[in-house]
Amino acid sequence: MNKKINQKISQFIDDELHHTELDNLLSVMKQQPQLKNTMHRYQTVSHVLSSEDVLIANGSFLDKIKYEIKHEQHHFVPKKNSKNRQLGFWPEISIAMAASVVIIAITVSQQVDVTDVQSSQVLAKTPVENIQMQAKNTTQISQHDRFKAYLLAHSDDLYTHGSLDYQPLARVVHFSQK
Amino acid sequence: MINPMLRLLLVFFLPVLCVLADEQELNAEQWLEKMSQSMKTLNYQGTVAFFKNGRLDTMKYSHSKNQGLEQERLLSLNSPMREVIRDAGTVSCVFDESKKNIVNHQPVSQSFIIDLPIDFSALNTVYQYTLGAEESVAMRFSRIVNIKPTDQYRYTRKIWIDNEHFLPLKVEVYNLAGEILEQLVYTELQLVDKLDTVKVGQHLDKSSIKQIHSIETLPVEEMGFVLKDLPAGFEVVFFTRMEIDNSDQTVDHLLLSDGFSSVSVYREALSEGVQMGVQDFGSVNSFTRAINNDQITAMGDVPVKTVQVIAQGFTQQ
Repeated sequence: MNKKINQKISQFIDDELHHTELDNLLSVMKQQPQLKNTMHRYQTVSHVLSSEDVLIANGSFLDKIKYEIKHEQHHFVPKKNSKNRQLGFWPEISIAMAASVVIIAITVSQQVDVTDVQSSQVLAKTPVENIQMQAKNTTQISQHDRFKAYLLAHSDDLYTHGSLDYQPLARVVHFSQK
Repeated sequence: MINPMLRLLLVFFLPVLCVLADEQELNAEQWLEKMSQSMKTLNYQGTVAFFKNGRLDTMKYSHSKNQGLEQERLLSLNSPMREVIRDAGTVSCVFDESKKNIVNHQPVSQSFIIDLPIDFSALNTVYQYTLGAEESVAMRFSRIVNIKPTDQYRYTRKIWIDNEHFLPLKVEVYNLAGEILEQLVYTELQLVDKLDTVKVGQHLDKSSIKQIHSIETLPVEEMGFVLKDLPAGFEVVFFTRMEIDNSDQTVDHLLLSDGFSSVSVYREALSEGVQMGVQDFGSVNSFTRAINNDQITAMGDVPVKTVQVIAQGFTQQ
């Protein structure tokens, strides 16, 4: 049973899984969270062996995000008190809430799970729409590919650990959704 | 006056006692030499736990020697399921589930367990070998041999060597701060009279093989660079060229080693936006610099200073 699911995960990563089977796989993965780890391992292996374009995240990128989230100021809505109620405060809250909703919507749509990212060091797809951003990433991609090839030629880690430890990785994942 | 009977006993047992005393009084270098010999000649199998960069992986390991040919085999116990075979200087890795395969024709390491120099005494100036305590590993008595560098260019190692068969039962590598960087330990080990050689690539899908170092080794002179100020003990092992996926550019690969530690030096045409300086990938450190229209990257399981000195020692002929 597990072997079949593993095969499907592998097919999913290779973009070979039919969309009709995708729903089944996702529901099984929801019931068995440990399969997420399997998927991340496959992604890493596939990433190592494939030559797909990748985005490299700066070493301190995730740490910076974590730091910013940790040190972000908290704005608590004051108690309903006629004395403290200030009309000028509400537009700021509205803007903050709107911004939060936008961030959540983007995060959900991209299916980025921060804990998963930390555990697997593999990021889910981030659609790069900004042309400038794409141009900036071109050099990073080639540098990443270069170091991947260097490490693959130098290290035994792929054999003894099943993956190479060049981190953090960001991978552009795509699948045919119909 | 010694009793004639006692004298007779002494004549018979003295040589035996001398041999036993010799066996017990092996120095650290002799332990290492015996270990090196045993690793190559014996047939053995067991379970090995590899610990590196906070990751633990347990694999079945076997070593066989048939008709003068050595074979090492690793079989994973956990996902991703894979089988790795080192055969006649080539490493083949088959990923069972993803059906991806790798064949490295010029692997950097000589063994999955530990790399060793051919001549330990030649490295006496850069490493000090000392005997440590006796400890049990995998239910076997072992002797610890400490391999301590005399400079800051390499890491300290400790090897637990089996008292009976002189096989390495446990290996630890420490960084300059004395923290464990890498650990390998047998959880069980058996010696066997014979182990069959496994045929590589029987069920290998040829189309899915990723080839590494498929180009033969080349003379070092072809590199067009000279090495200056190499840390003592480091010597050229091979020079070859390799290709990077999705690139028509070839990369020169020079391997340097002091026997225990290896450093790869890669040279290719300078690319735009390449990050220069030090980078680390877990226990692997690298240093990149530009020389005219080339970029040089030195990379290895060695301190930062080592890759930096090696990369900076490259000068054009």
